[in-house]
Amino acid sequence: MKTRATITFKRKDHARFGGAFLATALLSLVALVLLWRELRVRVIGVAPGGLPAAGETALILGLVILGSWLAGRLIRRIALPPITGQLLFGLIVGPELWKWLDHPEFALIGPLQLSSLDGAASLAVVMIGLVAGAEIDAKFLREKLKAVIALAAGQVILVTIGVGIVSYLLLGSFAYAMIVATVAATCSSAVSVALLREMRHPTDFARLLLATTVAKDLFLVVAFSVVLFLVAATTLSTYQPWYWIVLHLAGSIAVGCALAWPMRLALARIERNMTAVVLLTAICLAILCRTIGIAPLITAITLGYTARNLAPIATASFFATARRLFLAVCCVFFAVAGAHLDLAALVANWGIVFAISGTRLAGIWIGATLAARVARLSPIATRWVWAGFVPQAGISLALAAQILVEFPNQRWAVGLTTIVVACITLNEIVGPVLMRIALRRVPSDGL
Amino acid sequence: MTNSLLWLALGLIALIVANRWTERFRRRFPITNVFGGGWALLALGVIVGPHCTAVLDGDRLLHLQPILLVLLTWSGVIVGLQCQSALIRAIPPVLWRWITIDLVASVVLSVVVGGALARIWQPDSPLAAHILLTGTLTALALGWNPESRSLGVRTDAQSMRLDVLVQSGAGALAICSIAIATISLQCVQQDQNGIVGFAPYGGMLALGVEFCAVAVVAFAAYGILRDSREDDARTTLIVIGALFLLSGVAVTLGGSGILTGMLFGAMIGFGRRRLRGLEHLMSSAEPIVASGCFFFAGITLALPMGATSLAGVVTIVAIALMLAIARRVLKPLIMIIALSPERESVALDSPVARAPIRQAPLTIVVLLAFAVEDSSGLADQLLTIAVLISLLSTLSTFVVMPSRSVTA
Repeated sequence: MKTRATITFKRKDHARFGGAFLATALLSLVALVLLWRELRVRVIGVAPGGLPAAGETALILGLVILGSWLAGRLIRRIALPPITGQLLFGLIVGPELWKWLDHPEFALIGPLQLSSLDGAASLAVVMIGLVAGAEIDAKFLREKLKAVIALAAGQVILVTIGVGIVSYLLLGSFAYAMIVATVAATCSSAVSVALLREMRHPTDFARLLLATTVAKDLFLVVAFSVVLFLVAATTLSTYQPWYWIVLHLAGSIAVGCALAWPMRLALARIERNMTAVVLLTAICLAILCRTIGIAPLITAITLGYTARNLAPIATASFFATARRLFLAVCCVFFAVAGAHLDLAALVANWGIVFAISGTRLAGIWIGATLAARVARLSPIATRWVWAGFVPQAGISLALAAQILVEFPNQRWAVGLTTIVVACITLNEIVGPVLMRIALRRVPSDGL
Repeated sequence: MTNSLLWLALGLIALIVANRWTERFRRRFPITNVFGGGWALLALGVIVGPHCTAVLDGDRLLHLQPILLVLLTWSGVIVGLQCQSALIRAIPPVLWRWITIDLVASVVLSVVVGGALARIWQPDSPLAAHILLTGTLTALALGWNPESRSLGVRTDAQSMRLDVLVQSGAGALAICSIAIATISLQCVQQDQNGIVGFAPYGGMLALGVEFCAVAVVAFAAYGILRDSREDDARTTLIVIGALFLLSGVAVTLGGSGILTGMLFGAMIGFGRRRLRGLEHLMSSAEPIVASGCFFFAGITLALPMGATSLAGVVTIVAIALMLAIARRVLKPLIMIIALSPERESVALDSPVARAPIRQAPLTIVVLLAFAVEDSSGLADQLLTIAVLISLLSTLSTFVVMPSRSVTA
């Protein structure tokens, strides 16, 4: 079978504007922001701190949306996924790279400005969750349930065992090894759904990767909470009772399911202003999750899945609008993720990071390939399925941040989080490239 | 507080869901047009704003300000997109005459009223404040509400022609209104202590930078969106990104996003090929943008009635009443004088002839943009005056001359 003939990604725009146009537009954008920064300080005499916060946030949001989209389009011309371009753009304009190079003044987005984008990033998480949930078809899930379970179980077992052993040898603690191994088993629903949406006609293989990623991450959120509970029980005098962990996940799923009914009823009565409805729903969900302390991504995925499968006709317009806004959402989410990439930690711990990431890659490869054989996927899908589980992003970073929340003021927790974030950084850069290769190699009927 | 925000967001969704029933109600009782739509959201804004229940206050309001800036810039783009060469060429001489007379009369009246008001109302204010006040009053006086359906419909040729003239004139004068108000705002700088000063050179330099920024963004956006389809994800992304960028550039340089938005829209509008995807996106979002602006205007209104003392309240109400009465008298007069050469071809006795009495809703948006920049409280008071004039002038068209809907 000629796999080259199965490219299903959108290519229609290549003839309209070339690489030179995109590069000029991107450079002009950066030059505009640089000029604006110099002008406000030297000519108008306004110090960076004295500016209206809203204006500055708006400008940075504009830079992030347009710049990361242009960078994504540009990098697509050299056969890399747009997400990589968006991450790289965030890295270049963000503070971490320049802090590492000892020139923090060169960063277009400073740490304070980056924190002002947190609200937009939280909204992006909810939107990604809604679209990811809506992409999973209940009928498809029933048909492929065996493959989903096999792929998820195969990877989780091999990655946790492999990474657990390597981490124990490198870090010298069973507790630390358990934490690192559990985070290493997670993937990125955001990257999966972004690459799936990039395709003109999402294939069954892409849907299988997304469904497996979501199922695996749901399980690992619980597992990670249990691991943290066990570690806290052995190292701290105060820790959260175990039922809170169950309530956290069960609550997220229950709220997501429960909201699907009112959403269906409301959407049946709405004909216009769908953009406003989608944005307000995302805002409501983000606020609700923060208020009652449930996971926004899980709640949004559950809501998207339940609503879409409960009332496909009534919610069609809603999810079509959400997909239309998804491109802008992804640009903000991945550029902000890129700006947060901790290069200093990656370089400082490169030995440990490469050892753990290499083991993770091997675990995913062996686990996914064996599972694919058990599930009787096609030879081409069996050969490439592992590459779809390498990316890590939002949920992995959220779990890493949870370590510091659970163990505040603990020196070991800071060190461990640095290593975990450095591993995620590496997988965040390499993962989308591998996943896109897999999606391009497996034909639309190749499952 | 977070719970209150949740209820607010749910309330807004409920308003959208209930839109179907409210529209039916409005169709049955035309007078409710006065209080429906934007006015309901303005009232909601007042209720949740810092002066009433304070659901949106302090930091939360600051977090929402980028959205307000984008809404203001979006309004500017909607106005600017009217600057299409074909549309400008199609303006008849009689409309040019009407636009010129209205512009001259409004400027002259605003200079006189602005000078008098500055001496009586704000006697200690510097020259810069006088210029700003005059510019703002001109923006308030210029143009009218383009909406004519709520006044009653007549389908005879003369009424239809008048309707076209009313709508086109409102669009053209909206451009003048934005230009005058934002250029006067740009030429006035406020220092760290809140003291305003007249800085025309700095203002012009900032305007020049804004113009260059708009040109670069418009050129790139035009190049990317030339062949976009309606409801394209890429169109949405480019528009949202460009609006955020231009709002940020304008506001941080002491200007207003409405002007940069208008320039952006005009540059796109003058392009050889029409960007149907962008036009569709802009027009479909128009009700949301208008509602959002009214909501924020409600939050920004300085209550009680824009002043703390009773004398201040009386002054503001008196100014609003005076300007509304002036509008009620002068606007029909200007219309009759301007359209006198074509008296035969337009129906000056049709309900549409009352449209120029009503103040353009865009003035509230212009004043809102001024309020974003101003920390002295003057803009909030002027916004209160604008809202009062809008309300009074709209009411006067219904109360003084009852609606007569005639369908030929």
